[in-house]
Amino acid sequence: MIAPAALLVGVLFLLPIGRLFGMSLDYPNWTTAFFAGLFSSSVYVKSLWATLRVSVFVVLGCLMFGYPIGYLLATCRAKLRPYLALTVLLPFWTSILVRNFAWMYLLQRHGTVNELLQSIGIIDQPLRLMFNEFGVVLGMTNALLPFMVLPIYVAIQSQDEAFLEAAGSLGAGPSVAFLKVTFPLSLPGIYAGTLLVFATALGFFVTPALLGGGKVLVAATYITYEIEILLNWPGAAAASIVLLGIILIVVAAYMRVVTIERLSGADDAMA
Amino acid sequence: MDAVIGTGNDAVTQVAVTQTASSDHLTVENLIKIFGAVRAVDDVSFHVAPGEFLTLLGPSGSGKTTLLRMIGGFENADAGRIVLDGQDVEHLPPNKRNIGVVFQKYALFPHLTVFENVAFALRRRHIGRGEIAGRVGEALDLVSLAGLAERYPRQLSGGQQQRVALARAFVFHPDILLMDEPLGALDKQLRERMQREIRALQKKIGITTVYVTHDQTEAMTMSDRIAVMNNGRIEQIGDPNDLYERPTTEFVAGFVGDSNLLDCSVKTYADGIVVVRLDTGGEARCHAKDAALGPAKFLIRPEKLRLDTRLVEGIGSINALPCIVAAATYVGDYTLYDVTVGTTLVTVKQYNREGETRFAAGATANLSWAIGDCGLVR
Repeated sequence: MIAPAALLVGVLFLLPIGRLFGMSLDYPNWTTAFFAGLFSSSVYVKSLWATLRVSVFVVLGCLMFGYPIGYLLATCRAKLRPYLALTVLLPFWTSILVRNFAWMYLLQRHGTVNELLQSIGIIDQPLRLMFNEFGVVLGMTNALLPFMVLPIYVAIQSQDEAFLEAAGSLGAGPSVAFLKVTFPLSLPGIYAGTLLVFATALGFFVTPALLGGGKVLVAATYITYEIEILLNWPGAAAASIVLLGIILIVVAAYMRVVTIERLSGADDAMA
Repeated sequence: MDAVIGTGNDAVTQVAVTQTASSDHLTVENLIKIFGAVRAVDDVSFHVAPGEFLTLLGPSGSGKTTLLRMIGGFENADAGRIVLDGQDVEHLPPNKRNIGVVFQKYALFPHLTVFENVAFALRRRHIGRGEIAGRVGEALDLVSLAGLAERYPRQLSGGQQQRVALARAFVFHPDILLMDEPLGALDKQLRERMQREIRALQKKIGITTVYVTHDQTEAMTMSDRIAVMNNGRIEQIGDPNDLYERPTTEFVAGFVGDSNLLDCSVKTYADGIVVVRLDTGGEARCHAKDAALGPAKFLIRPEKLRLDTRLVEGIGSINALPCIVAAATYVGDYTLYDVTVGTTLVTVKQYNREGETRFAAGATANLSWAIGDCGLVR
């Protein structure tokens, strides 16, 4: 039954990874020198920390903006829903390059945001909103928002209305009902969204490259540098393998803490 | 009419006029709810006395659930008043009405234990931890669920979940208990047992209850009074005996209990007894209150009819007609006979006892019943 699917996973996924692993060990020379080389200077390790830091902030940003949007989408009037959904999905369907260039247009030194703030008189000098981690986090949050919004939307929308009615009948006002019933039951959505956003953010390339302007070094940009500038394919492969290992460890640890059951929400709100 | 007038020193002289009896716990007045083109609740009014168990009985679409939801505050009324414990509540949200609700699918909070589910309302009322534990324990004892406090709803059977929902709804002593077809998901044995248990519990706590169901047996066994609803209106409201023995409309006669409704026309009326001519042939007599002549429906319940082998004329206080047995169905405790009287099919329910004649299809028989066991319905 699962043979065709297993074959597909094997060919499309495991084979390239295997090849990458071979490359990192400099097949046919079989040496671990390139792995050691990663840690000969602090550059790679620093890029890993930056990757982690940026990804955590992106998750926080997505939670902060994504939860209210997901909630609104789930509880708004049916007539409004398609339009609200479009505001989330339309950017999602737009090329990420286009979106990043749009952000650059907004955030640059003489871009829209700085011009606006200066004309109102809030600031004198333009703010550094780009070519730094702030701009990268902003751009990535915007890009990964749908991954947070959709699971949260599903988690809230699938809750039986009777829960809120029951909470009301028992004396809970709207905010108490949200805190004690809607929010706890939406946790599976938060867990799923967090995992999706975090895992994707760890490997993100386009936004750190463009909005980071060469000043923000994350794992993905480090790997690109190794390939494009240093032509160090085995080194880049080694860096990729290490990044992949980290992502797997993080995901595994996450799964431990939040069991698979909870993620799929199978036991909770679906009743 | 009650009038309350403030003393002269008050800036405002208050006059409060009510037309309800001061003993009514719940009063519903001229309630209307419209969904698009449909009048789901069409000018409904009734009272419920304190501690009374009133059932809203009717088929799907009769408006009974909508009516219950309006009493609970889950639907806004388009017109009318709802007075609960002396207070106008139709503008209040459910959380301000002090009601206890048992929903059709229980709506137990899946992320909370049984204890926390039951304690939910108590926690909203800022009651001390010790007192909460005590009251939850009492409530769980009353529904025979002691010991299951730390389980989660998904670990309980349907019957157990139902009881948790009940305990959760009454633990905080609400003014009124509203139940929306809570036993629908249970199997027959469990349902019948829960009917008795709920009723016993309700009597014990003495809580005013409004119960919704489409099952007339359930309504008959549990209720002090039943309001039969059809198309958004109450057709008749009364105790089970009233509804069964003296239905006022054709719908109620057909919906509550089994019935035989024969078209007839009233010929004469004297001394409280009418003589009707059945459209299907033959004459019959019954008691009646008014002398209106003309077309009507003649109601005889299947268990009031008797089949005999000997053909006799109807005389004195007995009606009798010849008939032919079309079919016999053995049900165990009784046998159902479908007999034809003229051109109409009539159902006879005969309890299986020693000495009772069994009839086979095709047999001719005498159909008889007492004058007091039938009536007219318009």
